[in-house]
Amino acid sequence: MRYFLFGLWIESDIALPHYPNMPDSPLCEVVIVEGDVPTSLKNQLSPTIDVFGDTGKLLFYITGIGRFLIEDGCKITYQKEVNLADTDSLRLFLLGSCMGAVLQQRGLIVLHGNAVSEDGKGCQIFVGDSGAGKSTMAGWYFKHGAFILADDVVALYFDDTTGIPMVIPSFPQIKLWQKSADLLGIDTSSLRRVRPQDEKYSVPIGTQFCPTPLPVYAVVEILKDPGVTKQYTGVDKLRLLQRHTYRYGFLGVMDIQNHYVGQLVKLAGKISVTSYERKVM
Amino acid sequence: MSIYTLETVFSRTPQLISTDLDDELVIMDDEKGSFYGLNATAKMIYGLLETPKTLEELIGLITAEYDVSPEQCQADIIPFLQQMVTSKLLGADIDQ
Repeated sequence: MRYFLFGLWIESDIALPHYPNMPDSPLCEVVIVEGDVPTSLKNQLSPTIDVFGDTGKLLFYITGIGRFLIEDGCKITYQKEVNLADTDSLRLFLLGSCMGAVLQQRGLIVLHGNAVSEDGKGCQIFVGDSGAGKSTMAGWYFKHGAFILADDVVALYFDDTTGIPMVIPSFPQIKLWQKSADLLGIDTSSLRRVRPQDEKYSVPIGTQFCPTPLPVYAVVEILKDPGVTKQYTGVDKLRLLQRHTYRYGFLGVMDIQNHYVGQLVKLAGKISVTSYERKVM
Repeated sequence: MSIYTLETVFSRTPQLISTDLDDELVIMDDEKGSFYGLNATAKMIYGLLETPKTLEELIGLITAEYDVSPEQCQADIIPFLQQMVTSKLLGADIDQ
């Protein structure tokens, strides 16, 4: 089955039923395939964390789901745990952590947040600690007619000719907890759960999915606790971008942290970075 | 009292990459992926150390440019130098 996600053509032996399958596409940039995955690699994130890496390689375990190996930005191998019934969780890790590693291996900046555009010409990225309200914010923008480029994993590259940082559209859905959906007045009764055990739903965003990359002009951190709106400069900008990098630890075990930080400096020089107190919605 | 004398030679740690970001100079350690931000004063000192210099030479250059006495200048820049040496952005050769 062939899909176009995160700006990449992906050939997958496991169906991703909620995305359009385009088997006739001649392009293939990433393969997702079931197979044997080794138990470790040269570098380990920490003695208690089952994340391993080496040049161009990343490996991690998820108890009860399986092991994943991501290589050279173009291959994801998964080895399911025996009798795994919950393929939704498997898919969640394939499209989350695994694709995050693929994008990192391809030299992209990957932030944990979501990207929205009000005018279809430029976008901003919302980041924040877990529970700060990133998804609710994306849901609010969605409800108010804005375009959504990415939810959870936001990948950026620099345009070859202009050097402008661009956000890559990921896939046409956002994820909302029941609580956020209630706040936004979105009915979840006909929606699919992201995975069986969570009250978190996949909301298809249809034509409000922005299918083309857009320039990013701002990163906004949503604060969990009341705080003052703050404009960051210099190295503080960089620290914020580093803090909200998707799976920052992956970079170190793959020995690409230095290159990544260089990319973040480049990004920091071209955008505004602020933090913003969450308003009660 | 400082561990540095007027003869102490300061030099930039090799293999660091520096870039301007807003009003700061960001210095990256290409090996470790760590980085530091230098404010205006630290940036000025780092700029002067494009080639290694003694503390005395640094003071001479700064007092020629700014309206500050050598004593005051020495008192002002030593904390910055110490900080940058601790952060391994600069090396200090105390023997020379």
